[in-house]
Amino acid sequence: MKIDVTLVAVLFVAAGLVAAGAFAAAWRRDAMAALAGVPLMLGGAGVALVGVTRFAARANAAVQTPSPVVVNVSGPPLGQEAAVLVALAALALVAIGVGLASRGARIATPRQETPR
Amino acid sequence: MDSLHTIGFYAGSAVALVGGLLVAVLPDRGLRALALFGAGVGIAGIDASLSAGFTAAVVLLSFAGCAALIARHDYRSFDFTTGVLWRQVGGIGAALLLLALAYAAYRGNFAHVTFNGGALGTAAIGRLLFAHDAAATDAVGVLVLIALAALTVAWRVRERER
Repeated sequence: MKIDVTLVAVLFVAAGLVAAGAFAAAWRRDAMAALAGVPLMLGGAGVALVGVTRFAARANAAVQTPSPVVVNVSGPPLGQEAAVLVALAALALVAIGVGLASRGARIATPRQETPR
Repeated sequence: MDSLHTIGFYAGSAVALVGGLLVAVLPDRGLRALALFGAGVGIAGIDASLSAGFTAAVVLLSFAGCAALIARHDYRSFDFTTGVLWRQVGGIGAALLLLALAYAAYRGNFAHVTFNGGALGTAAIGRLLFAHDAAATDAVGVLVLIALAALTVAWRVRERER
């Protein structure tokens, strides 16, 4: 049996990462711990974008093909570009969140880490 | 895809998913940051096996930065006031999200192309970032600038009041 990578496999992994990030963000009571879910969710989105670029991106919007299903050339890596921007945005969002959370923690409960 | 890239994809997927789950359940912040970095390594491996080497490098740096921010030595806890019930509802919602996304991926009908880009694709991404979609690049740059300013202001205020 030959095991290959398809777009469906990539999207499954991306879905798992998004769900794990959403679970971390929803389940953790500590804001700093919940923030760790943000890069996971955005990382999953980036994996999906890269997968679409690798397997299913059309060449150009201007190219008209008789079949909407089979196009034989890939186009500019727009998904990879979006994944790069999403990764940078994730880092920025975590930085903003850490700044805001530590500012709130100064007033609320300093130096107490909850186990969950 | 050849066997090496296939193995790289599935190994990276396993590392990323296990790291993601550990981020959600580990109690210690140091271990949580380490798990987040591990998830980043896995995601970078996935990207590299999908012929997106430049994206893999950026993702690795981004996750390393996130892990360093979460593992800061002056960590302070800030609890949400959300009740246990709502957090459990959120956990169930995450499971439903996984089912919905997996179903959409399984039932989707996608176009298929032969990828003709390189393993890194740096030049093509650079053309897109700095010529085709320069406004989006500027927007993310502004977001990073705001994040750095917010982090600096928060740090300065706290140091001044210490």
